[in-house]
Formats: sequence, C-alpha cells, structure tokens
Amino acid sequence: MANTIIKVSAMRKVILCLMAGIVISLSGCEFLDEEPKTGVASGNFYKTESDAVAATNGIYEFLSFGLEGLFDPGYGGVYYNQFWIAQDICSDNAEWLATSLDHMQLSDFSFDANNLLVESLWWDYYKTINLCNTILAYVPPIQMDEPRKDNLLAEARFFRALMYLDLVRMWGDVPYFSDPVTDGEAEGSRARVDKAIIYDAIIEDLDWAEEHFLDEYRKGNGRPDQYTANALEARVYLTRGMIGSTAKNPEDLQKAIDCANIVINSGKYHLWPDYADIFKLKNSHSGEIILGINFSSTLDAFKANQFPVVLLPTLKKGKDGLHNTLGLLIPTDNLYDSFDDLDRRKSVTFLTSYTFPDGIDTTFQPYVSKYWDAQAEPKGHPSDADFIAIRLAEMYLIVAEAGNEINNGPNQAAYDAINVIRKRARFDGIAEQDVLPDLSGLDYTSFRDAVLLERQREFVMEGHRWFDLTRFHQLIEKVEASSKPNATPQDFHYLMPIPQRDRELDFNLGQNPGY
Amino acid sequence: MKRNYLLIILVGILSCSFTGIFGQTREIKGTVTDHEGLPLAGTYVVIKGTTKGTVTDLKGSYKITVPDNNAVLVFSFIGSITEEREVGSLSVIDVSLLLDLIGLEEVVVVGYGSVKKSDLTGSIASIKADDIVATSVTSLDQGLIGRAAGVVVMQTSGQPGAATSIRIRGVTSLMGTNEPLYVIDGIPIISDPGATDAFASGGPALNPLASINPSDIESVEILKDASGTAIYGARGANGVILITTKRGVKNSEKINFSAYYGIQQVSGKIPMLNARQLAELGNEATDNAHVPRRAIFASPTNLGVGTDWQEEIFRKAPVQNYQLSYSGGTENSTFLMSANYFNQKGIVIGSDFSKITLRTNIDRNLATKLKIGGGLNLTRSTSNGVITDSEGAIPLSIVSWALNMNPGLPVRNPDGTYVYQNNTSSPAIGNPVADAMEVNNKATNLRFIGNAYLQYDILKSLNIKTTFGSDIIQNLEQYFTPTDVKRGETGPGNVNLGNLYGLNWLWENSINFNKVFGIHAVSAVAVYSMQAYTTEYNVGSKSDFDDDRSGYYSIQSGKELIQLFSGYSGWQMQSILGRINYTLLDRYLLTLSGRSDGSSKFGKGNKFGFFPSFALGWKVKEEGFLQSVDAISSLKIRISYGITGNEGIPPYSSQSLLYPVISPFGTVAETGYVPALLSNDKIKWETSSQSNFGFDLGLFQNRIEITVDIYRKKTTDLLLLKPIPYFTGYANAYLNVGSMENKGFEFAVTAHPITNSTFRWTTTYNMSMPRNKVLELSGGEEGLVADPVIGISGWTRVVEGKPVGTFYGLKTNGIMQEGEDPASIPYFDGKVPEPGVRKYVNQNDDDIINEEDRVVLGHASPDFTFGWSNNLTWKNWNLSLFIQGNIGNEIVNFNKFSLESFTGSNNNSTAALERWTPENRSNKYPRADFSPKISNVLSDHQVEDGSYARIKDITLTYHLPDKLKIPILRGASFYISAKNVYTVTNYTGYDPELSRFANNPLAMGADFGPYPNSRSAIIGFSTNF
Repeated sequence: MANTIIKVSAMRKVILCLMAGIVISLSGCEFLDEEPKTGVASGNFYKTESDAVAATNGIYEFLSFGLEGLFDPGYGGVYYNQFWIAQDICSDNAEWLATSLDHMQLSDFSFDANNLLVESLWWDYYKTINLCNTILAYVPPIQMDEPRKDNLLAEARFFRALMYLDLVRMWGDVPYFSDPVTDGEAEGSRARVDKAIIYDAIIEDLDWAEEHFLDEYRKGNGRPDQYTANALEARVYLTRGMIGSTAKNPEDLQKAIDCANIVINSGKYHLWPDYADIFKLKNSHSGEIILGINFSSTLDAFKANQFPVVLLPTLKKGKDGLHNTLGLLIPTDNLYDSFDDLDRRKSVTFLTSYTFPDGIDTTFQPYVSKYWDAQAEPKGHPSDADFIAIRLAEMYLIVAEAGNEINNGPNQAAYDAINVIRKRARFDGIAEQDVLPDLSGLDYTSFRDAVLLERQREFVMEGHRWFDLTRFHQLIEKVEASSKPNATPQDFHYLMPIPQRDRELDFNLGQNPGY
Repeated sequence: MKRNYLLIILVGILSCSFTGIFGQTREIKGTVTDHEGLPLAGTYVVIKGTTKGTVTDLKGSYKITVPDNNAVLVFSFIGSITEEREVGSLSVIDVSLLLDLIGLEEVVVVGYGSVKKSDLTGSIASIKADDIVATSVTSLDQGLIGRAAGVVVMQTSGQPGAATSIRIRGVTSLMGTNEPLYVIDGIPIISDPGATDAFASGGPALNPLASINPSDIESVEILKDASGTAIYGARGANGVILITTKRGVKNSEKINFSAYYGIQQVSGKIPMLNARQLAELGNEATDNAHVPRRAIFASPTNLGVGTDWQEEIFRKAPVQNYQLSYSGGTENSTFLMSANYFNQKGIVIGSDFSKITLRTNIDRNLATKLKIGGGLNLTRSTSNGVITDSEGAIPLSIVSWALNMNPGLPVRNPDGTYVYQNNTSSPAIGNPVADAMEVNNKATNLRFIGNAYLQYDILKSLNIKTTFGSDIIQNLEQYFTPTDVKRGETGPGNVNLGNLYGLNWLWENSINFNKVFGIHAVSAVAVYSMQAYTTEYNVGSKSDFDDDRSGYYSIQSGKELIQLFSGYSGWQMQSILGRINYTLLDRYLLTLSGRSDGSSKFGKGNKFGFFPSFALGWKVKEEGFLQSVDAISSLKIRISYGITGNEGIPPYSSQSLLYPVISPFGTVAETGYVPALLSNDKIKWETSSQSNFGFDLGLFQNRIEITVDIYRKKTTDLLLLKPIPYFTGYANAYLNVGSMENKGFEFAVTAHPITNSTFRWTTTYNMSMPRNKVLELSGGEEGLVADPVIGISGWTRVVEGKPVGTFYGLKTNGIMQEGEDPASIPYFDGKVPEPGVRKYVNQNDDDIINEEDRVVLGHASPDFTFGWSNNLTWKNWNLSLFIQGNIGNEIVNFNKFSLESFTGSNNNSTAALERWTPENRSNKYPRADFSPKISNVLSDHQVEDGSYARIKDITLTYHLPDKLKIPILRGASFYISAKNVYTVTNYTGYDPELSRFANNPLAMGADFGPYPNSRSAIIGFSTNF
C-alpha cells in the first residue's frame, strides 16, 4: 500500500510539472516575439503624426549623409559627393587627380557599366525613391491634421520627382516604382519604363506638391515649398523641352519660362549683390537659395560635406593649415581660362594661393574653393556648407535659354535674364568692374553659346555641367575643345550605363547603347 | 538472478565464519592510492578465490584478515587496473593503482545525459582532462588542436587571448555562424565574439572561451553526427562541444596546487634585407625605372646592417599560471573550489593577457531523493593588444610595418625620441616600436557563468530535474592613439570607448527515465527549455586631442566627435526535446531523438523547426559467431541519420526594420526614420541532414581500439544575404537559398603496445579527410566574392561545384629573359613586357592577360588533417609527444606583395637577393623596378602550399614516488614542456597554422600581417595535499 501512495503522489508531481510546462508553452507565443530596440519594426511605425514627420525627415538624411557606414559601398547620400563630382569630372570642367579608377574613368570617358560612382548614384536615387514611396504608402492612413499630412506627402512627392528627373536625365528609360518595396524575394524583374511616362509622373508629382505645400508648416532649412516645386518644374520642362540636338518642344519651353518666372516674381528670393555671398555660411537657405541640401559638421563630424576634402589642396604644416583636404579634383585650364580675370566668379570659384598662419605664402595651380567660407571655417574640413541644389540664378538662365529656343533667337526677356547674371558677376564686392558687358544683338547660335558659357561659369561644381552639355548636345565638342588629357567622349556618353550589378541580377534591364 | 545473489551472500557468510574457525589468521593493513598518490576510498580488497573482502576507508586504508601466507589480495577500483599482491610474510601492503586506460566502461557525456561508451550509437569524440590540460595549454580551444578526428581549430592570430574558430566536419554555412555550440555543464554559452565584444578597440577579437579555466575541465565531448547533435536542434548543425567541469569526489578531500612558468618566443622570423642590401635594391630599382637614385640610398656600403625591425618588436615573453583547488565530499555532498591566475606576455612588445578565474561546484543530497547543486564560474580578463589585424589598403598591422620599415632607420633618434615614420615610401607607415609602446588598446572582460539545479528521484528509475543557468558578460574596451605617433596623426589622437553588457539565461525542466526490463533496457529523457540572450552596448569615439597624458580616461578632451552610438539586440528560444535509448539483449541499440525549436529570429511563417534523428548500433562481438574469435575483443557497428539546424543569423533578419537617423536642418537636428532592412516572413534556420556510418573495433583485449566514421552532411536552405537590384532601394535581402555538402572519412586508433606496471606506452592517432562542395548558390556565375585584400578582389570566391575557400589567380610562367620577343608574350592590356618581368599563362584566345585568365590556384581547407600523440610511462617518468598537421591546403600569402615588391619603397625579404638581373637570370623572381608596370596581381607565386606537420608538444613529467612519504604531501609531479617545437612545412610566412580571416568562410586561408604564433618552453609542477 505504501508503495502505491508514493506512486500516486509522484504521479501528481509529474502531472503538475507537465501542467506547468504547458502553461509556459502557452505564454511562449509571446516569449518568441522579437522586439528590436535599436531600430523600429515597420509594423510598429507609421501610427502617429510624429511618426509621419520622422519618416519624412528621413529623406533629408538620404539626401545628405545616407545610412551606410564608412566602409560600406553605398557610403554617403545622394549629394554627399558623387553627384557633384560626377557631373563636373565627366565634362570639360574638371579632372580627377587621385588614383581612384572609377573617378578617373569618368574623367576620361573610359567608364563602363561597372563604374562604382555611377552605380552608387543609381542606388542613392532609388533608395530615396523607396523611402518616398514608403511615406506615400504608409502616411496617408495616419490620423492627423490633413493639411499638415498633405504637406508631408508633398515633400515626399517633390523629392521623388527630383530623384526621377536625374534618373531619366542620366539613364533615359529606367525602372519606375511608385510603391514601396516590401519583400526581397518577391522583387524580381522590373522592365524599364519609357522616360516620357516618367516625365509625366514627375510633373504630376510636382503639380500635386505645389498645390499641397503649406506656407506656414515646415519652412526653411532645406525643406521645399510650392516655389521650390515651381523651380524644379522649370528645370523639368526645360529638359523635356530640349529633345536632342535640334528637336524641341516649344510648349514645354514656355512652361519652363512660366515656372521660372513664378519663382523669380515670387518675392521670396533675391540674388545676392555679390556672387561671393551665395556661399557664405551665414547665408545658407536664404537669398537666392531655393533648395539647399543640409550638411552640418556642427551636429556630427560625419555629417560634414566633402567639399574641402575633395576640392581644396593639401595645405598642412604641423597643426597649422587646412585639415583633411586632399585636392582630389582640379579644374581644367579650359575652365579656368574661360573666366575673365575681373569676373567676380573667378576669384570666388578658384584658389591659387594660401597664406599659412605664420605668414608664409604658397601658390599653386587653381583649385575650386567656392564652397569654402574661409572666414567662418579657416581649417576647411569639417564644414557646415550645404550643397546648393537649386538657386535663383538658374531660373534667370532658364528664362534666357528657353526664350532663345522658342523664338529661334533671343527676345528681350532672354537678354534681360542673362544680363542680370552678368551684372552681378561684374560686382567685385565694392564696385562694378569693366567686364562682362550686357549682351545684345546676338543671333540664335551665339546667344545659345553665351547661355551655355554663362551657366558653366556660374555653376562650377554645382552638379550641372554634364546635364548642360547633354541638353545642349555639345558633350563631345566641348570636351574635345577643352584639350582635357586623354578624354575621349563618344556618342553613347549622352547616357550613363545601367549598372552591371543590377543587370546581372535582373536580365530584363538591358543596357544603353555603346556600353 | 535473485537466487545467485542469495548464494553469494550465503557463501560469503559461510566463508567468513569458516575462516574465523579454521584459519591461522592474521591481519594485513595498508593504504591504497591512485596514480597521483591520492588515497582511494572505496577500493575493494578481496582475498583471491574467495568472496571475503573489505573496502578502503576515507584515507584509503584497509584492514583485512587473511587465512595464511599463501593468500593473494586483489585490489580493484572502477577505472583502475586491478592489482594482485601475494601476502607472504608482509603485514603492511600499500598499493598504488594505475588508471585503466583500456577500460571500455567509460561513461561519455552526451546532450542531456550520459551513456556508457560501449552503448554509444553516435560519433562522439571524448577528450579527457589529462589530454588537454596536463601540459599547460593556455585555453581550452588550444587544447583541442589535433586531438579529435574531424575537429579543426583555426587560429586567426597568435595574440594572447585571441579568438579561435573551430570547425567540426567542415564549413556548413556561408552567412550564419560556423562555430559549434558550446555547452558548459548543460548551459549553452555565448561563444560568438560578435555578441561578446563591443569592437571599440583594435586587434583581433577576444576569445570567449578564455573564461573557462582549462584546469577546471573534467572532460570535453565533441558531438559530431546528427545522432548526438539533433538534440540541440536549430543550433546543432555545426556540431556541439560539451564541457563538463570537475566536481568533488565523495568521502575524500584534496587540495591541489599547481603552477607553471614558461618563456615564449616567435616561432620563426622572416629573413629580411639589411640596410645595405635594401639600398642596393633601391638603387637598382630606380636605375631600371630610369628615374634618379634616391638620396637615402646614396652610399649603400656605409649603411651596414642597420636595424632588425623584427628583433625590435618581438621579444622573449613569459607566461605563468597558478592554480589552487580544494575539492572533496562527504557521503551526502561534494564540493570543488578553484582559483586560477594566468598571465601571458605577448611575443610582440606591448601586448599581454591576464585573467583570474574562480570556480565553485557543489552537489548535495538534501534528502534521500532530493538533490541540489550547481556551479559558479567567474572570470576577469584583461588584454592589452597591439594593432595587428586592422584591414585596409595599406597594411595597418605593426607586424607588417616591422617588415616594411627601412632597416637603415634607427628605432630612436639621437635625442631619444622615436623615429616617426618610414622614409622609403609615401604614404609612409609609422614606427612599429612606437606604435606598439604608445598606442593603448585594452579590453577588460568580466564573465559569470553559473547554474543551479534541483533533482527529485520520484522512483529509482524516474527523476525530474529543473535547472537554471546564466551567462553574464561585461566587456569594456578602451583604445587610445596618441597624437605623436603616425597612427594618431590624422585625428590628431583618437579615443574609442566601448562597453557591452550581455545576459544569457536558460531554464530547463527535464524528466529522466531509466529501466531494465529483462532483455530490454530503456532510458529516456524529455526536456522543456527556454533561453534568452540580450546585449546592450555603447560605443563612442573622438579625435582631435591636444594632450596625450590622459589617454582614454579623458574622451571629453577630444574636440571632434567621430561616432557615438548605442544599441540593443536580443533573441529568445523555446524548445521541447526528447530522446529514447533502447537496448535489446545488450546487443542491439537504438537511439531516437527529436527537438522542436522555436526561435525569435525566424520569420513569422517559420517560427518552429523540428529536428529528429535516429541511430542504430549493433554490438557484433556479442553475437555467437564472434565470441570465439579471440583477436576481436569488441566490435560495434553504428549508423545514424538526422536533421539539425543553424539558427546563427543576426536577430531581426526577418523583419522590415527602420533605423533612426539624425537629419540635419541647418544646425538643428530632427529625428528621422529610414528603411534599413527588407522583411522576409519566411526566413528560417539552415537545415543540415547528416548521415553517419561507423564502427568501433577492439583487438587483442582492446589493446588496439579503432574507430572509423564516414559521413555526409548536406546543408540546404543556406541563408544568404542575397544581392538584389539596387533599384529596389536595397542592396540585399536575407533569403534561404543554396545548398552545400560536406562528406568525409575519419579514423582514430588508440593502441597500448606496452602495458606492464613499470613501462607503458599508449599511442593515439586520428585523421580525417573532409571534402566540401557548394552545390547551389543564388546570383551570378561569379558566386560570392570575398572582400578585397590590398585591392585584390576575387582572390577567393564561393562558386557552385567548388569547395568554399577556393583561390583564383593567374598562373605564372617564369620570368621574361633578354632576347625574348615582347610581342610573343601575352601581357596586360596596353603594357609591353620587358626582360625581368614576371610572365603569366594566357588561358584563352586573346593576346592579353586579364581577369579572364584566372584559374583555380588552390583551396583553404586541408585534404587531410591528423594528430598523433604518444604517452610513455616508465616507473615515475612520463613522456608525452604530440604531433599534428594539415596536408593539402593552400594559403594566400598576401605579405609577399610587400616582401617581394622589389621597388625599394619598402624593405623586402631576402628573396630579393635572388632577383632577376642581366647577370643573375632568375626564372622565379622578377627584376627590381621602382615603378613596376603592374602590381598586386595574385598568382600562383603568392598562393603557397600550407601543408605542415608540427611537433606541437613534448612534455616530460616526473611523479614523486609514493615511498617518500613526505608529511602532508600526498603526491607531486614536476614537468618540463616545449610547445611548437619543430614544424615541417614549405610555407614561407610566419606560420601555416594562422589564417587571418578564418572565422569568415568567404575569406579563409589568407595570411596578412597577423600576430605570429609562438614557440615556448615551460616548467611546472602539481602537488596534492
């Protein structure tokens, strides 16, 4: 009997243990839930107004610094460095001095579909587009003030348009996404979409953004508003209006003028009287800046821009001199010589000498120094300077260019517009110099050449030159004329190669001719 | 059966009474000790031919009454060789029992239990404490090198305390972990350096296993086949290493103090040019390049020999270890306490590693059926490292620096300050001596591993047990580069600080059943287990320092913030598992096991995985037809099949994650969130299915024991970070695609050729022949490409149909000689070869040498690994000799690019003396050239045969004879030992055993400026009280 009792109590214990086990198992459904804390799972996000704002804020990080770490291939955001380096070294403006093969190939037009600069720009654009698409998909259901929500959506649409414009300008037909990518396995093949369709989508985005930007919400410091949208639309219409070397679309060109004039006449922006003031740190996001991309070493050394590193020469003497400047890129003689000596832009754009704190002078070949506010940041790097994506001078030059194209010769508005820019360049900070007289009496071709030259001198290293040369269809001509060493541009260089990496992962992508 | 017992008892009683009546009886007494001279309580002392006997007491003493002088006493103790003594006229008989090394009834620890060795159905290598620790290894993993077939220990660095990688039966995963699961006294510990290191300091990752004191280890069992590993389910695919720590012995008491001291030095230096030779090379290089000679090489003959930079950074370094343990027990409880201090100076100046370990193990019977116990292990270690492992296009390792430095430069200037940098190249490297001495790179780890259990024996055959364990990790890393050394130049100065706190806990409840029913024997276990791990970390770094005095204790004085981040990561597992062992007629064995694992890391659609296994064993010797074959003393055939998983993927891999960013708006920051990872609901473990066939054969009374295994392990659902088109906005996504195969043959033999009481020889040999092949990958033909090293990409790729770690490069074709037509020599596009340049084989129809001419040049995994140990005992002397090696692997010696640059821009090895000149028409080494046409082209010249055989250890031990009878002292031994004594290899680098990126399966087999291995001589002793 005793034996049996023991067995029964033992059995009871076993049963109790098993039951305890089952209870734990049931609660275990939650036990295995995964809660990331360093990041946020997307399922727990996009719930509140502050989530909507934070999601939209993310765009600005992708434009400037990006998410990737220092040693990752995708390091740096859209405007961190590749964008403005590529547009000027892949033209008659600049040469690459250092030993990076990818840069050198871009500089002498020997690049192919494996070029990492081209690849990383491609990725940066699409990364930002995916973020905009994510916002446009997940923010609308959030319960919040509707006009404010629309303003956030307008920001996402604006930047999506900005990214797609550069994609079609650089690659022509490209894959088009308007929804966020959510599943790695499902994202297979995407055919390239006709750029005409993408242009329509860009304009639709910008029109929507223009209507929904709120005047009083999220102003300044690099956030777009309706005039920013107008300004970008002017650029879009101008580009679409200039189809190839001869064909053009007067309707688009007129819209470009109209949009540019809205911005010029908005009263919101004004040209600084002195060209040098554009790049002063205290003037960022003001005056003629329509869209500035924020960089700030004050916030974080890694959020500094790369202008001093890439553009300024190595000038170091012990602890004196410039900090971490490498002088990787130099202007061509052709670019330097295209300026009149008294042109204010020449002395602002280039640096040819430097005085160390101990008074020793040193002179050297020209380097591009326009982004360096030497008073505010005597050490050069790290710098707070912004990348200027759109500024008012471009609007004037759009009016000039499009006016000449529509009428097959400059009209008065075109003359007025270009002369505003020339007049400003005459002012050396104290007085107007005897240089760059107002233009008049030019025929279609000479005026066209004058606009291209003015743009070249106005926008050195501002991410315009390759776009200008392709729009004017003068890439080969100008680069050959610049006697840039070893540079051999070909017809196919009017488009960039679709990155080989993506072509191998998606065989349907195809390639632009020539690559 | 019962009747037999009765009979014995009856006879016993009768014989007792009879001896009492009839014998000319007298009393014999004595003490029984073990091979170390410790008293053996519980030894049976029986008069031969009778059932009359007694048992020794706590002090090993016995008293027995013998009938006459002809009586023979038989002394037997489990695990020892039984001894017989004729009584004769003696009245005191002391006996020392030797360990029975041949005994088959050894018990082997398996997952969630233990099994008699003869009943094993799986492939398990069991390594006893004596093999690993008797000879002063610095850490457990060092002790495993070459000891078990199919277990390869790979070292990434010779730095004291550096991590190693262990591969059991090959590489099974490309992106997940390949490290086995380590289980200490039932607690799976965190062994991934990535989860235990904040990575704020430089140098190699530290060894998570350093927290275990080798002297505390009782045994190490390595589970290799699925029959053993499937019970660890989703963590079993890479094999499992079970570590059992020592516990006290009932009714005994023992104090052990042991210590050793040794001297280590670099196992070999690379012969380098002296100052004069480098200057001559430099001048020849500039002449050949038609550029002016360099002023620093103006007059070679005046330069003399100069500085031997290797001599300057290497040193003879001491290593010392002190161990005190106290263990014992009563009838109802046992205990063990141990304290250990270990201090190892590195053979590179400025590096060292020290640690203190404390351990307590306690077991106690609270009541007849209730048992409680546990163990605590606390380790604090401090490592001062030198930078030897940083990546980069320019080598950042000070070992590389020492090889590159101009021997014409002194270490110090006449004013006593360090020479700042090398003067032969730009950008220049820094003075390695200054770097080693001035850069502070410290990691401090505190680790607590503990467990406690409560066991209740419901019935004799049934018990339940609950266990709680935890593994707590604290890591502090401090790194400071001063402003006045080259490495600190750009900051100037740099401080990195990092700390990490990790908590791993485990709760397991198990039921054990064990019973024999006639011809059937059943043992079964069922377990419910929960485990979780969390890590929290903070990392900050700043640069731009004005003052070097405060170092890393004053990060606030740095003016430029480089980075500041913190993070959290965690996972949970929940599992149910069980196993049944069934034995029929003690002849036919069956093992079934299964585990259902749930892991937080898996996608929603794949939360739980089931991992079953079965194994069959057949003790053929027990069959009638073999019983009469005397030569065969045992034979068992084993077969097993099972499925295991590898869940070693980063947490949150399945989720779509948003990362916080700080978006700048002017100088105002706002928080933003950006998509960082794509979600994949289907992400799951990698699945390995493994079959194993083996047999254990004992010959001639088990004097020769042979174990043979053949296995095939196929891993499917390989987790790959698959590249996806950039136009998706992402670079890659985790997907379960791909498969891989490992198969191989393992052989181990233990023989006891001589086993008499004065002289014994035991020899053990093991070997394995593993073969790895990638069956299926996703993505392009290129396969998975390793990260470039010094700008060389594609040096190793993972390609379908080839083993992981296959090297690709050009085949060389000698040196171009004078008179050869350049047009007839295929060469690089746009370059014209000149006499004295290296020629390469053109593999295709074009006339140029390019990437398409690359062919397979070798592979990183050896074809054959072996270990051979010998143990000779003569009276009180013991000599052990251990030889180990790998055959058939290649190593990419990246150091050769700088050692044989022949430019004069850095120092070269003495290979430069054989360079091509018009007079010395070498067909192996090219000419000197200040600006060579091509550089850093990987060819078969840099891919070297990595085969080696090495005398790993020779140890001579002397046991103090028992006769000496020194008071208090109950045994002592002294030893001298030499490690890495001699190596046979054709490899020209420091050491074929080091593999720089060994822990990354995509980049195995590279030698690139590592911290070299050492050779050492050690003296030590062990005493018992």
